[in-house]
Amino acid sequence: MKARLPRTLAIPVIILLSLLSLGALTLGYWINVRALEKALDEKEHERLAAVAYAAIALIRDEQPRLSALAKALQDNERITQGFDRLAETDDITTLREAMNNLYVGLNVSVFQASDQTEKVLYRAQAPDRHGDTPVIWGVAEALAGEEITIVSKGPLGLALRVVTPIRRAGRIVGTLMVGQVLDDAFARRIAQRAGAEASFASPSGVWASSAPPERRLSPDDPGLTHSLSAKTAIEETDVVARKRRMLMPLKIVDEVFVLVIESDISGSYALLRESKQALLLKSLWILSGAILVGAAFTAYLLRPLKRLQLEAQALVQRISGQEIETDGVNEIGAAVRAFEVTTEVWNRYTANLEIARHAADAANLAKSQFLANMSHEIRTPMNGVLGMLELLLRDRQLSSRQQRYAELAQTSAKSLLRMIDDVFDFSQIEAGQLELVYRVFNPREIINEVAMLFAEVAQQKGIHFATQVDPKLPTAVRGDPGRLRQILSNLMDNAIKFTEQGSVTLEASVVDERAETYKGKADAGLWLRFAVRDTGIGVAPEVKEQIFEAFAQADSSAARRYGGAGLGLTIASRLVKMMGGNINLVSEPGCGSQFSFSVRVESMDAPTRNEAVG
Amino acid sequence: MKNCILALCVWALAFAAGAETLIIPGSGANEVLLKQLAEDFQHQYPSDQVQVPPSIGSSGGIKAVMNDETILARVGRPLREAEAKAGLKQWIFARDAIAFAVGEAVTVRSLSSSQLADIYSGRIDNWRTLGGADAPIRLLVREATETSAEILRRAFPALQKLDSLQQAKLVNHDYEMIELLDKYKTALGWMTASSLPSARTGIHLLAIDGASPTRPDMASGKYPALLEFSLVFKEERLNEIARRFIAYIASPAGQQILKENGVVAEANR
Repeated sequence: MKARLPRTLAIPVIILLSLLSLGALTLGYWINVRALEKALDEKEHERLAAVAYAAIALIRDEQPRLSALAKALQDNERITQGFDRLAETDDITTLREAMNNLYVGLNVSVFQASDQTEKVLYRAQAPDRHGDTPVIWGVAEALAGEEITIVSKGPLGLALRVVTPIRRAGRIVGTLMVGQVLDDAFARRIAQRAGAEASFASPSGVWASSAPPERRLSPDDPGLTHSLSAKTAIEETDVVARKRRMLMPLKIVDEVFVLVIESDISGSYALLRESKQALLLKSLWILSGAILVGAAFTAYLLRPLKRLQLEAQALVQRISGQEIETDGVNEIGAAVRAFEVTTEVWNRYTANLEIARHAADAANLAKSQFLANMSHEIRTPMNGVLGMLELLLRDRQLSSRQQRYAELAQTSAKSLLRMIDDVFDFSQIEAGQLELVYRVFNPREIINEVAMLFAEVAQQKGIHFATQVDPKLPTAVRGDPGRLRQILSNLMDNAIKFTEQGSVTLEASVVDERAETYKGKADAGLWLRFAVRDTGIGVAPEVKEQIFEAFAQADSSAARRYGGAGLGLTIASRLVKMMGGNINLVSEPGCGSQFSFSVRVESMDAPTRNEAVG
Repeated sequence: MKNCILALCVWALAFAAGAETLIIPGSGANEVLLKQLAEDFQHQYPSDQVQVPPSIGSSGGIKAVMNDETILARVGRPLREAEAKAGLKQWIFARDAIAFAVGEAVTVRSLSSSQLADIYSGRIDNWRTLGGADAPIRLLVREATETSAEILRRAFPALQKLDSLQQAKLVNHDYEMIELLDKYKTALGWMTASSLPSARTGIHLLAIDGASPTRPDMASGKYPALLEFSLVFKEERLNEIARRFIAYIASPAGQQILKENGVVAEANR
């Protein structure tokens, strides 16, 4: 259940971007296609209308042509001769031959002559058939005396005809008819000229067309009756056959019929299809581009979040070793969770640290207090031991051997007491229980006391000992003389201990107030500088720092060789720090060392000096 | 589709003319007469607007009233049973004859309905057969769906084939009929009697089965082929302006217009 695919924000963002792009592109596609369809529709409509008007013009142009032709033929010598011949000898052949010859050059589809009883004398389609009386509108009317132009249905179909009377000697002897049948051939002529299929239709259906019979408009076509009754042109589109029709009711002369123009719109359809495909292809390109850009942008946006999460994970791992659970959440959720977990782990961690620190502090304090108490408790019996040894040594009855033993015991006890004192001081300092005791004192006296204490020891060891005291050193300052003495003693003890030959020098001076080091501190009090210089074994550079640490000597073998708890320098260093200074060590192994330090004291004015000393 | 266009027209006209507009769609046969009536009515009531839009046929007008798209429709035929049942009222305010007419060269002045049936079925094609001069009968017809053709078929049951003849010319309007009767002087056609201006002497209206399309025979009901000039409406939808227009037609001023147009007024409501 746990090994699920990581949920990422990238997927919904990309899906959203894709959907938005898809929507925009679909809308664009739709609008484009609509515009295209409309433009093509408009184009097809205009083409159809142009074709229809061209066809109408073609039909209308026939009327003046036929009329002019009829007028010319009316007075044609050969035709009148033919009629004369017929009247005189009842011989029809002259007229027939004359008309046959004329017909060849006339370019008409109706060419016919009748006598005054409407009997046909000649018809171009069937020159041999005559004598019948077909019902053709116009013949009777022309016989009444006037040329007539008509459009009506005749045996050949709907035709535009001009019928004109033939007069001989002031009498009407017959009629001559020229005409153009609106037949398939005529429709084909229009079609050829206009570039579209043309048909002529009446309410009973199509009677002539440039199209083959199987492709002609059905008489039941609703558009046909509709255009006739509404008396307006209508357009139909046959989507399946890729045809577009215009049905235009026309009244030529005095006959109403419908001109049907049908154009092939497969070209437009192909263009539309091509454009649609191109549009679709482009849309797909744009869509894929949008998705790619969206994906890249999302990844770019999410990268810092991922980094945040990984860094938090590393931190949490390091602190607590636990994993941040980020299954089933996206990048933002993961970052939030990582932050939550990190905060929680961090809080726990710092709380633990605090507890540990408190425990360590408490343990250290307890240790120091224990040591201080113990030192105090040990010193009491030690003082008893020393007192008793003192008394023992005053006894004159001791043998020289007993005297020597007692002196040895006294030296060991004093040494032990000093060590206990050191431990006691150190633990007091550590426990923060040691406090400086301020009073007015003469630093020169302290120098003298220390010098007196160590002059003898130095002499016994065969080392030259000297003191150098600055004449400007004041005689009355306020500070802790006991602790100052302790510092100097420790340093002196140390110096003599590690010097086998040569000299040990104790220096004391007042720090020049202009000295760079103490600039700015001058008003805080008076600074006294002390230095203990020796020509002993020196301190290696690498252990310089360590020798002020508690229980440390430069070499662990030194403890065995020189004795001591190794607390002297530590205590001196701590005390100097309490007095506001620092011990500075300058040393070269084999050549000697110089321990120097400065302490701050309060300067006492001259009037108070005597009082202080007194 | 037709209804939509009509509704749009009605709406557009109403919008153009303002609120006080009465639109009367319907038959083409009624168009001229109603336009004259509307014009005269507006002289009397200048704040009222009456529109008589181009023909959508009697049935179209009736449908518009039924669908509450208009208040009044002009109708040239009696209501059908279903239409009457739908609560429509018809007020016939005038009648006119549908008369057969012949061209100048025709001497025949009356025919029987069986002779007419023979002519229209193609059995008789020359006036000579009917006692006239030797001349071919040129047939001029109106569309089968046209109101006048419908009226003739109803009035003369023998005449069912009026238009399906090959040898006939289709005519769209009464004025075209007059034109063609002038051109084809041996032609036979039909028209509303009032369409023929009295000044035209060349064209003659025929008496059928002994009844002539004249005022007395029409008024007596002897001449059966009558075009009705009527308004169709729903009684409860009649508004002020519609009532005013109806009242105007029944008034002497309206009756005068009817008289001038040669129709027989039927003012009784």
